[in-house]
Amino acid sequence: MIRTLDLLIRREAAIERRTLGWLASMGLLGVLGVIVLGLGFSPEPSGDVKSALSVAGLWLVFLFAGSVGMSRTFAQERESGALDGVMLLPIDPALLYLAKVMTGMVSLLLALAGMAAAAHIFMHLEVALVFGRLLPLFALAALGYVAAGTVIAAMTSSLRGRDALLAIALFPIVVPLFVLATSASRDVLLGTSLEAVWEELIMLAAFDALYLALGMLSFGKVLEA
Amino acid sequence: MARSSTFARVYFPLTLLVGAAGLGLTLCVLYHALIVLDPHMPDGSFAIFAPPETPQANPMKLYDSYRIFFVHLPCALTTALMSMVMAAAGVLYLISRHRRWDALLMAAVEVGAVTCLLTMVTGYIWGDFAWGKGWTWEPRLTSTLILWLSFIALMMIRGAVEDERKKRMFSAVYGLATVPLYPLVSRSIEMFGRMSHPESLESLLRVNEISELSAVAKPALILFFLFFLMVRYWQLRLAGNIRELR
Amino acid sequence: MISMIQASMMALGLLFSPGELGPSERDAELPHQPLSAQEIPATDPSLERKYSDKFEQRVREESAKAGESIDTLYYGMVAVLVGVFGIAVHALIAARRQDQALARLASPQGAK
Repeated sequence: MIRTLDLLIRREAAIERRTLGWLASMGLLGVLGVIVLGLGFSPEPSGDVKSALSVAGLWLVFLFAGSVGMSRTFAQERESGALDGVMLLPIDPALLYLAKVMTGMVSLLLALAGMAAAAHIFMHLEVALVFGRLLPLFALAALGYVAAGTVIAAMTSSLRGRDALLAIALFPIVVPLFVLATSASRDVLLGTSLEAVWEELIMLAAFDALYLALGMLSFGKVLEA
Repeated sequence: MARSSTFARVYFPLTLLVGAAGLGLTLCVLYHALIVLDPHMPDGSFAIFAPPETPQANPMKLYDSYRIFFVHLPCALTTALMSMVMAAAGVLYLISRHRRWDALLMAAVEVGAVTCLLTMVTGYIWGDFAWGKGWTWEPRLTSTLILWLSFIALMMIRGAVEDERKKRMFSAVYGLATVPLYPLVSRSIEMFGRMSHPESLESLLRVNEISELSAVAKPALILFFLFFLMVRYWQLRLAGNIRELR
Repeated sequence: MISMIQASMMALGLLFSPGELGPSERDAELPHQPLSAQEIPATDPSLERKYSDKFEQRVREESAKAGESIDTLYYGMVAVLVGVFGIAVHALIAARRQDQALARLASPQGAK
């Protein structure tokens, strides 16, 4: 089982390398987001406003770039028929789902790191400095987001107007994650230690487990439909 | 001679009964809430709401505004009920793949979207009076809005899918995916601390007459909305049957 | 002549707004007129002072005004609820007819 999972992850990573689906779209969106934010706030904000702004910006990019990335990888697999090929193999779809979630999460975190660097360079926001402290939070939020998003993207990838539909369908579902993550990350940026937001982290992990369980149960059913 | 199915022979009168009972009770509740009850309580006290900052020291009088709670609260409860029905129907569909659960799920989504909207509208009207602004980014309000958005999203996904089997499968999965939202809505006050939204009607109004009426208002409006659920369920079932015949 | 028209207009008005029938039994019991500050029995006198008299006065006036429009609201809501109920019952009956048609199609004699 571990071997199958490993193979599937490597397959996902290969798709990622070849198409640069997640990374390209997310990186570009991230940089664009930073530029728009920078243009909008031409008298540069300072102090708490600045940290609040950078958190808002990061999460905004996280949200939109994530959904675009998920939609793109699925669309490519659907169009090339690669997904049908994998479905023919005697593999538990839950494993395929796990592989997709893991690679998606790593790509999302990489894109976020790039975006934080861009914000640091262009907008003089000190996101990059606290990125290490925010990482556990981002990782948990990304896990839940990708766990829910992969199922929804599998649904919407075969439909008309899939990108818009994915964003519309995904946003209400993952709100619990964002509510917890934004408040916790604001606290962290304003100087609280990670231990102070321990409760939020636990709750995030609980939501992640819930989404993962739901996803593992329903992914195969969605794909075969 | 037209004969209906065995199911219909029981379901039709049952639905009518639920509807009549719901309508009758709801009208009674409205009559009491709007006509009989008075903001000046018999013992001279007012319905009182304590804002969170200083719960004991600075309660506010609600005057006529508390009457809206007899609609607002049952609507919110119905929304909660409908989302639970939706999730349960989703699970049952995934297990049995029977079309009846899909019809129930869709009926619950439609009724839930309406009651959720009614909850928000009545809440807005009350907030406009009590808080001075109808909408605030308060956890309970925000999470209710999100729940409503998820109902709408489900309807939109359904509209975009053409294949019937896919449509049913996706609705069931999406209905299940909204389950993590429920604790967010129902425990929002516990999770994020009490802000402006009252925690419960009983904590708000300590007058016997009001809590008695509230005890009737909940089942009354729930029955009334249940009637619409039943009507929609049957309509959707029949529409599915006809599609199957073609 | 004019007074007759006036009277019929008034009668029409009374017909369509039962809430403004003048002092009814309820109104006699619990007047909607603004109460004076002494007339409001406060559960705790210290609470009273939290509100400025001006605010209190305004809310009481609006409350009295609302008391009149609440009757209109009540009848409006009754009309809406009964209307919605009627539409739903109509749909229910249509559904039964559809069900009967389907049952006829399914029955062995249905082909005739």
